Amino acid sequence: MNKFILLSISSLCFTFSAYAGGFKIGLQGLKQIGMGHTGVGFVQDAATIYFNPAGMSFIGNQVNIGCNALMPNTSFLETNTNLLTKADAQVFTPFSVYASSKLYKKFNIGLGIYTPFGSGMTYPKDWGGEYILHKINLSTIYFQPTLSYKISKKLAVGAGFVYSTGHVTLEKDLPINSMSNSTIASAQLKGAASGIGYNAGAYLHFNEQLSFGLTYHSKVLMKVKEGTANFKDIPTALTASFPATNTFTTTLALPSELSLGVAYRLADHVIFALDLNRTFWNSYDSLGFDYGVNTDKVTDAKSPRNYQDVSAIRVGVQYEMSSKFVFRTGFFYDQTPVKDGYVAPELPDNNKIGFTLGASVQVAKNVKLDFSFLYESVPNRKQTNLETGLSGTFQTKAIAPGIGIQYQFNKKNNPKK
Amino acid sequence: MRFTISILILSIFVFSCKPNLKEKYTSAGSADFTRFVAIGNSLTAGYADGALCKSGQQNAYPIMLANQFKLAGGGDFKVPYMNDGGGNDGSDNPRRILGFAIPCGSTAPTLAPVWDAAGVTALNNVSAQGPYNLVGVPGALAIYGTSGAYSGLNPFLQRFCGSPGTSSMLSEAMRINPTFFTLWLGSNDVLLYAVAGAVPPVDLYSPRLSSDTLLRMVLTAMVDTLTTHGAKGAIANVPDVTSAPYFTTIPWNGVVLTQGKADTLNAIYAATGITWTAGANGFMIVDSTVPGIKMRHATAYDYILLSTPSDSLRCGQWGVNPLKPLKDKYVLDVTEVTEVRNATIAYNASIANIAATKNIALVDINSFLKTVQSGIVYNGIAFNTSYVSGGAFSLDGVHPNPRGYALIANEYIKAINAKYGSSVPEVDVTRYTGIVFP
Repeated sequence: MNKFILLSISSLCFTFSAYAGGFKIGLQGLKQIGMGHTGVGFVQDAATIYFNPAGMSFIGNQVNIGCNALMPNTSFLETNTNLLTKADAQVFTPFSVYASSKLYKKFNIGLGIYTPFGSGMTYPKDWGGEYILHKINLSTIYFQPTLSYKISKKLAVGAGFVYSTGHVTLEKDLPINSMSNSTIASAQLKGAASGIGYNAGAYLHFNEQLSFGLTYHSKVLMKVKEGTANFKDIPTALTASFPATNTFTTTLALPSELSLGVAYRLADHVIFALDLNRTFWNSYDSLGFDYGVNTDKVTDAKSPRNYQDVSAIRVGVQYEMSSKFVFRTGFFYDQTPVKDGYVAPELPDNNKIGFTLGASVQVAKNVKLDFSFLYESVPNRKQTNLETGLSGTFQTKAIAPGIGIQYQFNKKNNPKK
Repeated sequence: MRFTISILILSIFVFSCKPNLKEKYTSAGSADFTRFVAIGNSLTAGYADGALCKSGQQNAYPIMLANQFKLAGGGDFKVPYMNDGGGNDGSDNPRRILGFAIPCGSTAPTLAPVWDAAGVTALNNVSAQGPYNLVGVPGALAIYGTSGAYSGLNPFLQRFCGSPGTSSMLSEAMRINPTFFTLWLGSNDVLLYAVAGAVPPVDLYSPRLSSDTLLRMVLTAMVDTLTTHGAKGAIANVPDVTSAPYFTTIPWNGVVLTQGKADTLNAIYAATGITWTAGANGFMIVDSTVPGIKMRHATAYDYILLSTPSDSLRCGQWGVNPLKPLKDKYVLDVTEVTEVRNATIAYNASIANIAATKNIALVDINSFLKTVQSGIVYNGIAFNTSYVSGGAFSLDGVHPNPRGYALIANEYIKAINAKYGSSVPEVDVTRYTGIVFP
């Protein structure tokens, strides 16, 4: 029975593609999502491998698997033409798998597989920005083997190595009309990317009331070494300028992040958690494409992004109704790294506001089912892009219901009863 | 109870999970677009690629305007369409399209404007189906705006006007009883003279610069009549025609020499005082003000016209051989450029004055073309005034292509919205084609 549930949930997650909306995805652990995606200073389960690797020292041998159905909806109202565009509705399934085990004496070992960054936007073929972007898909999967060391009963440190793999697809039309072909010319860039980094944290279980955590996620440079650049429906007269099979290289800098968390037990069954994140987006200053073959029309392009460092505040409350039922709710406010003049169809970003709900149910002796629900609003942002001249208002709203399962191998190792 | 509350909260989330952006309300402001008439020359007719043809007419900016006006109470807009085909330039030549030609001295076909294989389209007479909202007359000067005789002379006006020899552009427009008008005349009053190389007029039919006084008088009379019944409107000014690709494509210093060639030429020109150097040299052009030899090197301030036969430049020693300096009709030299620009400035002062005194919108095409000249980006499409690659002009180097006309339509809409407090949405330029490649 338990194994069956485990299997069916994991198959559900993996059969869908692992894309996600928004560039950074705050969907790394079901219980944490329920509390506004807090988890740096409050260790609940093996998802701490992402939130705070040191937290592994305070949980038993367990496996957590979760996935979310992220459903963003983006609209764009072009200022000058008064034309409303709705980006295609899509369902993304960011997922996470965490396993943690006691290794030797004060050492715990674990592995996390999760999807912290991603983006997916598809606009209608004939929208006003077709020469800027038709489609973007960016997906990453982080593999993080992790070790934690319990210095004392109260204090632990932990660190993990991150290997990141992913891929990127970009499609847009080219403003080139052809006599013999009514289909407009288009460009498609596609490539696999990989990079490495690390994740380190410290966790202080001060007393039964109070705990603190500090985590640092390093920058990960995702390198596309041999991407393919395809140009389609190019008029015969210009085929020499657009070689049919071209390659490109690029590097996408996924930012580092410093997080501080605190959890406080307000009452017997009520815990409050607070996380502060500082994300160092300034590493993403430009997006460049270096083509294998350069021509008069295909030149190496560097397009400015100039993202800025931003902060996020996240709060959550957990209510333990009984040994079987736990309920959660949370809120977050996440600043946008995209400065005025740089808002683009690839990431129509603004400061985000989110509300979350969550619940856990003990369904068997060692098995908990986790549920989460996230609502996120990216309010209106009226902008004129400095590079492309696209002028209009973007608005995005997203919901993400999620389901997960926790399997506890050895109850005795769990310090939390 | 708790269950009910959670369902309630959940449903609030779900209902507000779709963006609520909505199109803005569009209004005509103090304007009334019910009956809209557009008066002008070839630029208003949708002339492009060297001819008036149906596919070009369909991309005329007044049609784009009429479509946008319909979103704010505008009515139907009738266009005197030509029959399908390659169109007609008024002298029974079709339009040009991009094709391949083998330039002299080469064996490789290169991209070049060629005649449309569809051939010339005879000018059809559609006057019985009139009156028309689009009074765009290729070749028309501003000073002919009120002339009834002109419809007997211009075949493009003749084919759709009510009574040839009597109907003027103005009287044709008044048949619509317009509530709103656009008026864009004056470009041909400099352009026809300039594209012919500003050659001194020899007879009554030679192109010449119109008198500014006459131009002001005629345009004033037109606006007076158009506004008699309280119609609102917009008047557009004259662009600096010398920034069009027709004048800027062939480089003034297109004679590129080796030292050996330069030496040979210097020997030939020895007695004249004219010298040649290795590298780029200005073409030799006719200049009657130069004492004795009546020729000189072109400078950066002289424009070599697109009408200059390119094979003669490449292989016929034109502009190099002392017997073959480029003739006046192929060159707009520095004094002629000044003459054309000064006339443009004078016309535009008159047009601005009419707009102000008659209290109608002024569409500053002159400033807009200057902006395009330095390069603009519209939703990721880059435009400038370069020939073909610039993306805004058609193959004749004078008239815009459909995307260029769409940009012009938006200049009208901006000026109209600003003047009349209307909120007519602009045209989506990305819906239109640019240069079409084979």
